[in-house]
Order: sequence, then C-alpha cells, then structure tokens
Amino acid sequence: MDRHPTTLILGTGNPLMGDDAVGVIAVQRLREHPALPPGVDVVDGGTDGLGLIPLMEPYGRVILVDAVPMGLSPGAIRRFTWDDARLVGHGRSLSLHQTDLTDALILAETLGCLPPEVVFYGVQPHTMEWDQSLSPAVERALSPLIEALIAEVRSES
Amino acid sequence: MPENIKVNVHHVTRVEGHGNIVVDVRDGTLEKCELQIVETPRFFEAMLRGRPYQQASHITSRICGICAVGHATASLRATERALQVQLSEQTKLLRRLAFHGEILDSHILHVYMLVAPDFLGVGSVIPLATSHPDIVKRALRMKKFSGDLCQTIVGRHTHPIAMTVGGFTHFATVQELVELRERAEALIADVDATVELFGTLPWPAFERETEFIALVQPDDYGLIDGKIGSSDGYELELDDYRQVTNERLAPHSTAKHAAFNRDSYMVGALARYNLKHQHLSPRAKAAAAHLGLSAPCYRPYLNSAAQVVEIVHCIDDVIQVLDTLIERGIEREDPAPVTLSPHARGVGACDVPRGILFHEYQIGEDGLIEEANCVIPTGQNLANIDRDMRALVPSILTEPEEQITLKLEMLVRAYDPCISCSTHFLNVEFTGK
Repeated sequence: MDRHPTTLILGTGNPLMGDDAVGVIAVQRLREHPALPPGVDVVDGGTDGLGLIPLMEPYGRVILVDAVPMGLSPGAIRRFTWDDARLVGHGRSLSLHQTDLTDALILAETLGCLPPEVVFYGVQPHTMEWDQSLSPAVERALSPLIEALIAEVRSES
Repeated sequence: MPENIKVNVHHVTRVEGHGNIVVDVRDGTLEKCELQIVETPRFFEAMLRGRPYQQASHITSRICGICAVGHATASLRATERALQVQLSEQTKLLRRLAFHGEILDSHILHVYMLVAPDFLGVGSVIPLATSHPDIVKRALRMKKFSGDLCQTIVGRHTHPIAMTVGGFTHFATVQELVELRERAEALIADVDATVELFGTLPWPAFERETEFIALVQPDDYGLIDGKIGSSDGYELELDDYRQVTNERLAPHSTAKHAAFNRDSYMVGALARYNLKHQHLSPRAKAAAAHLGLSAPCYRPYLNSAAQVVEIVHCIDDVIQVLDTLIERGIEREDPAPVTLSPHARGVGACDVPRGILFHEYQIGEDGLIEEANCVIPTGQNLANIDRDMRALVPSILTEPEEQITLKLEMLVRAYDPCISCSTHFLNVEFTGK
C-alpha cells in the first residue's frame, strides 16, 4: 500500500475501565482542538487489536495515546518510541495492558508494515477498574497531554 | 499402551474465552474426558428485563465482540416477530450484507489466525508472520474488507449502531456500494488462494456420526430466519426452538449443555454444509470438493474447512446482493412500524459463524421487555465436543502426551468455540499419570 505523508493520532483503551479511557478521551478532545494542523488524522481505536494494523499501515507517523502502567505517579505522562518499548522487553515490561495492541504492533513489525515512526504517549493510570470517569490525577493530565500532542504534530507538520 | 494418562490443559489457547480440557485415564480405562467451562455467567437475559425493546439489540450485541452483528440481528428478529414488524426488501438485503461481513471476518480470523498455526507447525500467528508473511498479509487484507463492509452498512463492525427495530438509521450510498463491489471482486484472488492453502492441510481423519442442526430455507443458503433443520430428518418452527435446545446444567461447565433427540448435536459451518450444501454458490461447491468435503461429513476437524467454503459463498453472495442493491438504488426509508400488545412473544434466529443462535423476548404493551432468553451456538456444541473427545481419546492413547494434547486442543478449536458468549472456556487437563 502507498504511504501517504500524514500523521495518525490513535487513542486506544476502554472507556468503561476508569483511567483506561484516557487515550480515547484525549482523541475526542483533540478532534475539536483549534490548533490541530491539517494532514493529521485523529482516530479512536477503542479496544481493537489486529484491525489496527491496516488502519496504521498507510501513515508515515503514528502517535499512540494510551494508559500505560509504568510504575510512575498517577497522571504522569511519558513520551517513548516503539524502539524504546521493545528495548524494555518486547513491550511486556511496559505492560501496555492491551495485549492486543502490543500483539498488533509486533505483528505489523514482523510483516514489515509498521509505519516508519511510531511514538507513544503513555499516561500512568491510577485505577483501571469498572468506572466511567477518570481519576482526578489522570483528569488533570489531559490538558498537558493534549498540549504535548499538539506540539508533537506541529513540530514536523 | 500407558496405563495412566493425565491431560490437563488449563486454559486452552487460541479460542475465545477460558476453558480447560481434562482427560483422566486410569489402568487403561477412560475415567474422565471433558471440556470444562470456567467463565462466570453474564446474566444478559436478566439485564434486559424492564428495559425498552429498542435497547435490546444494542445491549445483546455486547454479548460478543466477534458476533455483534449476529446477536443484534437475532435480537432484532425476536423483537420484530413479537411486535409484528414487516421488513422491507431493502432492509433484508442490507442486513444480509452486514451479516456476511461478520461471517467473513470471524471465519477469516479463525481459519488463518487460530487454526492454520497448528497445521503449519507454529505456535501462534506471530511466528506465522515470520514463516509465512504472505499468508498473514492476505488474512489481514480479507479481514479489512469484511470490517469495512460492516462499517459501511451498519456504522461499525463491533456493536453495530445503524441497525434498528424495523430497519436502519443510516444508509450507505450507492457510490459506497459500488466501491465495495469493486473491492469484493478484487478479493476473489485472495479467496481462491485461501481455498488452495487449506486444501493442502492434513485434516485429521477422526469421525463420529452425530446430529447436525442448522437454519434451513427452501431455496437458499440463508443465514437469517427460516426453520430449524436436523440431519435426523426433523424440521421445526423457530417458535419451537426449546424442543431442540433442551438446555440443561452440566457440573463441569458454567455454560449450559443442549441436546435434541440424541445426547448431543453439532451446530456451525459443518452442520450448515451438511444440511444445505446444495444451496452454496457454484464456486463454493467447487471449493468444498477441493477441500475434500462431501455430505454427510462426520469429521469435526473439517468444520474449519466448511468455514473456508462459507468464506467463498459469502463473498459470492455479497457481490450478488451488492449488484441487486446498486440496481435498485438505496431508499432512505423509515423503520417499519411496530404493533404493541400485551405479553407479545417472539423468537429470532440466525446462523452466526459458530452456529444457530436463538433470542426470545416477551414484550409488554408498554414496550418494556418482560422476559428474555438467549441460546448461544457454543453452548449447543459443548455436549458434542465432550462426546467427540471421549470417542477420540481411546484411539490416540498410544501417542505421546503432547500429541494427545495437541489433537484435543485442535478438536476443540475446530468448533471455533466462543466461551465468553456461552457462559455462560480452554485448558487441557490430563489427570492420572
């Protein structure tokens, strides 16, 4: 498939599982953000797994936003790349909790269809239990998270 | 032959949900051989009581992330039959398209990602991607088409949003249908390659005669509505489904077992093939011959081959239905009206990827659901899987334990069980050595 030169911001997670919703809520807010530059697609990936491979494939750059248990304080935001994630033990030690997403990324890489640039914005969750609201710490992280994502896509677009 | 064998697969992999296979042979006698279902019940039927009928299809589609269109369709049909709704031809055609999209998606996932690794000597799809990247890429291409088909017709694949009681709330444009038609046509090369690949696999020869149950229609390989057909010669109205399913509790399973005239029956692609192969598309019939299927077929491992045949049939039917819709044009019609009456009952049935699915609702004059019952295909297959395992194990006792385990796991996988749905499942547990 031909790659087109756009960026995909892909938020993943389950909005019924407390802080796991952070990626999905972030992309919902980003869509309406006035500073979002053209040429950037913003997609709610939900809890999809293998279906994310063909979704990501056409893009030159994919920015994944998700709750990632990293052993930091709740609401802490970390930017890392797929190479960083793999170096820390094939994604597992980062506990992307969505094993489907990790499997999809590994499969895409094995098949040679992973976009050239894959960046993660991980947010440390406080709880990932049945709940439809974010914890206060993760709620407070949304604003700086969205600003960081806007800065990321504006830096090279 | 070893006197004592214990197989204990605690959580069988590459099936949907959690189940264990337990085999216990003592002094050469098979003492225990069962598929234990260990997931918690989910209480969807109780959840529906007291809710407006309009919510039923959206709630019950959540029973399954794979068969969401199937559950929504069975739910809508139950509601529509209770509320005397007459569907337009366009609604029937659009639902058929979405339904085929889901059958394709589910079958492609099962045969390529879950079944093929066993035959190609790899543990999962990840090493398969290293050893056979073209196969995995093909599977993903086909899966993408089926997902996009669902998305175009019903808004999204998982948990369809555009299907409603009496019709649709969103309509694809003719231009979108034309584009799907082109993509479906282009996918035929991948479909043919799928038949070629699965035609080369060494399907285990094990067979056991059993009863097959599927929806039957006079002139069609129809998957929505119809009558309940049995390979033992019975044909029942949908309203009489409880006479067929006879759900009962089994101590080793949180999912109920089912039995009709015998102590078990089989549903799914092989059952459908056995009961209505004459209505397959010509290309699907040729695929069946290539895959070594001929009716009646009593080899449960070939359920996966029958799924490949249905992939061919569904693509052919998708093209045909798209042609019809493109020619007719799409009318943005309102949903057909309902008629509320006291304690109205309706049964909806469709043949989802894993077999025949029943929903039954009683709806009050106020439009609130008074009672609900859902009978899921995997539950109906469980008793038959147990009996297959009991017939298979004595014939393979001389083989190494890993071989026994693999063959049992492959047998369970051939049924493509969806344990989360039926718990209302997989690990093999050999106990005894």
